Amino acid sequence: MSMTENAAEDVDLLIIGAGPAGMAAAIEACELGIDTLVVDEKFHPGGQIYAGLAGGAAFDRSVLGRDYLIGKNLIDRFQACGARTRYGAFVWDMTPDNTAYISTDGTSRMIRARHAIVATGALERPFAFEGWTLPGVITAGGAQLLLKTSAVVPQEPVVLAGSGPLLLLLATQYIACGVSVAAILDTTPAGNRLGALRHFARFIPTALAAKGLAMLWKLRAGGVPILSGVEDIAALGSARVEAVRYRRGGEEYRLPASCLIVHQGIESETRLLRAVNVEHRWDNVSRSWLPVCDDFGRTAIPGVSVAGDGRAVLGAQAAPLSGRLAAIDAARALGRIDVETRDRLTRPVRAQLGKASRGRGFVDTLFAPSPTSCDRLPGEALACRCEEVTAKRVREEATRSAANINSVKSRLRCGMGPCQGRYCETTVRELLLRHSGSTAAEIGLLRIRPPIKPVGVEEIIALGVTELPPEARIPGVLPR
Amino acid sequence: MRTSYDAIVIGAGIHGCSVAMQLSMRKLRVLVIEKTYPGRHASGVNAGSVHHIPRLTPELPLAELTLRMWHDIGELVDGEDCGYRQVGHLKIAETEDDVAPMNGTAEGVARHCNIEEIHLDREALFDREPGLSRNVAAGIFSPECGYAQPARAVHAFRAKAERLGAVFLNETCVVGLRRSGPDWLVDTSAGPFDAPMVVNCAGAWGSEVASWVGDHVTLRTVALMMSVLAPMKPVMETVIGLTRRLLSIKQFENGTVVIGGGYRGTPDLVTGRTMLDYTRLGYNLRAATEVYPALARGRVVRCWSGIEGISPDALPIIGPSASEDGIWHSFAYSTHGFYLGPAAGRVLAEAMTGERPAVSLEPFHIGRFNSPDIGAA
Repeated sequence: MSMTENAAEDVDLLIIGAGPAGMAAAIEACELGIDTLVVDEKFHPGGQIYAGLAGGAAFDRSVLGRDYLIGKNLIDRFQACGARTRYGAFVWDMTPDNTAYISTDGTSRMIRARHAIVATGALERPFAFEGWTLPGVITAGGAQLLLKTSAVVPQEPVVLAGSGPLLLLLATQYIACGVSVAAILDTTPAGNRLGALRHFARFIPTALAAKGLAMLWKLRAGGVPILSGVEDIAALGSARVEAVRYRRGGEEYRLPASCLIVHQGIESETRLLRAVNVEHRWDNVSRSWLPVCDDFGRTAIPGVSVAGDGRAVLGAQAAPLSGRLAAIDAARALGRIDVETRDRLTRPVRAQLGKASRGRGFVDTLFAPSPTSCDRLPGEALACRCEEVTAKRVREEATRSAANINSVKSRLRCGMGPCQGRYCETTVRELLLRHSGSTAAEIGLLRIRPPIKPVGVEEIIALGVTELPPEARIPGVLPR
Repeated sequence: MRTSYDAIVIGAGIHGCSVAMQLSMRKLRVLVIEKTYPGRHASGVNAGSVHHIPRLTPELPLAELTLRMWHDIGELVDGEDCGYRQVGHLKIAETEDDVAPMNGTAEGVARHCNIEEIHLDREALFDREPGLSRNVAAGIFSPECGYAQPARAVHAFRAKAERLGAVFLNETCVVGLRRSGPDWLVDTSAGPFDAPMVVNCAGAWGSEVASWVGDHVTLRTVALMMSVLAPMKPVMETVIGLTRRLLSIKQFENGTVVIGGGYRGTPDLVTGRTMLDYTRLGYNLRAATEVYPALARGRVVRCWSGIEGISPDALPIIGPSASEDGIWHSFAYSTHGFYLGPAAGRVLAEAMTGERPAVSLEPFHIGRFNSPDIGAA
């Protein structure tokens, strides 16, 4: 067998993702003299949070707020740190021997890393409801990305619906851009407020609290109605969204809308970690599976660490700190520093991380997804858009045989489409949890079937041998 | 739950579900014990091909029976068609040199079973499959063959077995077998269960179960890789295979294309996980595009591999234990078990209940390996 010219490239440290965690990890690693390669699927560093700061349409970004603009500082330091970078490069598989398969410009390469830091951030929690697949319905993260990178704002009337700080932040940014927000339909369950109260004392002195109050003040000054206790959001329209229907206090209402922006919090993106068989644990507050790792972000898979929101959603202040921890520990794993040095270097970072995480308890509890979030999902609504599987079919299947999500996937095909479950896994899991009587551990998480995102046939061919492997040769005449 | 049954089936793959259904149809009370969930391994994740070429001679009568059963699969499992589509199977000789061996194979098959085969010359090949590369010489078309949806088939068999009273115990490991008077005690992670008959349908793990009762065979474990391409415009109609190199391609009704044939990843029997080998997978895709150039424009959306056990002579093990009464085997299907699912379950149930099996199980008896010399890999 002869290999093609596609030999693996070797690197000491591979950092996947150039968001706050990945950038900070790279800066730290380079300071410790480690040969570092950073890859990101976007064309500029900054991740989702600082998208557009390092490149993108020219416009006055001050409308996006101070917390956004300070990202430039980190980006500048990252771009000067000496790490090699590769943009427009997505990692579509990683094997437990730490080989990453990376696609750039339609060509895939293998990168063999002695250590890898997965800093793939978070994804918006899928939010299925009646009409969620209609054109004109977008997520808050997607809408914000358009604003940050291309100065695109939606056509009025704009309605925001769901729960979580991003929804409020986006509304303030729209106000600053002169876009009027017809209403914020807040679906945060009333019970969450009560639960969050016990975290309130710790929350109130934090920067997070100050930021939250400032946002609420801006929204009030901007005259945006925030309607709490909203349930049963539905997007109505034939070819695209024309109106939003919702219930509040037992009454049904309708609002005209050209654009419905929805959000239900974010959750760690761990597909690459799952691909390398990193163990995950169920977190009942965020109602998501989180990678099991130590304080430095090191997983049980040799040479694989995790940093940033992919480890647990802690936000933009904490992400660079967990990135630095992972990088310093990687230096130890690579033999650059000893354990004592690592501990000395990480002590202040760990303290800062503890401080940056303060107040999260309140936010996490207040905006925690509800275990009953899918109860009112109509049977005909799609749980999986790739394979067009309705909520009704998932509910029926939940009680029929094993409720393991991979078994349900094989029966209904939900999760088999090109999105690899990004848009349906959470919805399907919540439906199974409510209707099967099984626990999250019994339901489990979707097994990854690479590529994590679709890859051209010819890209994989180029990774292959060009001559027939001997075991694939069929002997002469059969049967004898 | 009750702990005594007429028969206990170990493993809920296609064969465990099929024999459980057939035994339930014969009014036996059946328990199926599954270590994860039905169809978790090869049964649920194979490429779904239903064809008899190139099977070894001793398997052809069973192949013929199973094809007939696939033709009426909806009747067998109460209206669920298992996604079976009789689109035909086309075996293609790529060079003139390959034509004579291909015809030899077809003649051999025709001597042992009565399944229609149509010889196609180059022009007839293109008439049938206009998307084929020009680099082909001839083919043999088997109009009675096709493909099914493996996971749907497993669950159709399981569901009918359950409707007839069979009990499925998922996420439960069998840890041992003991005699208890005339019965067998099956020790599991959920406690012991007993029955006079136990069927070993443990797939790649079947040799371990067999060894508990003194039947020894060494299986070669492989993880066969498959890829699915995102939906494409129609590229092909039939299920495609080659005569000289491993390759299997088919396009489903939703436009997705499944490419496989037998290229190997790395299995891990302990965790049940597999690792892909992109050097081989890349060749697999290369071979596919050499036969259907349009596939080069496709996008791969998922790749995986399923764990299979291959017996020393590449024939399955079906029938009674060579060592103990009341123990029956149905495993080691050697990478072509899925299509045999309907018939194997039926003939085994017939043998177990004292009926005359529609096809002799003699060639599949585990006793053929019980000399350690043969069994050694």
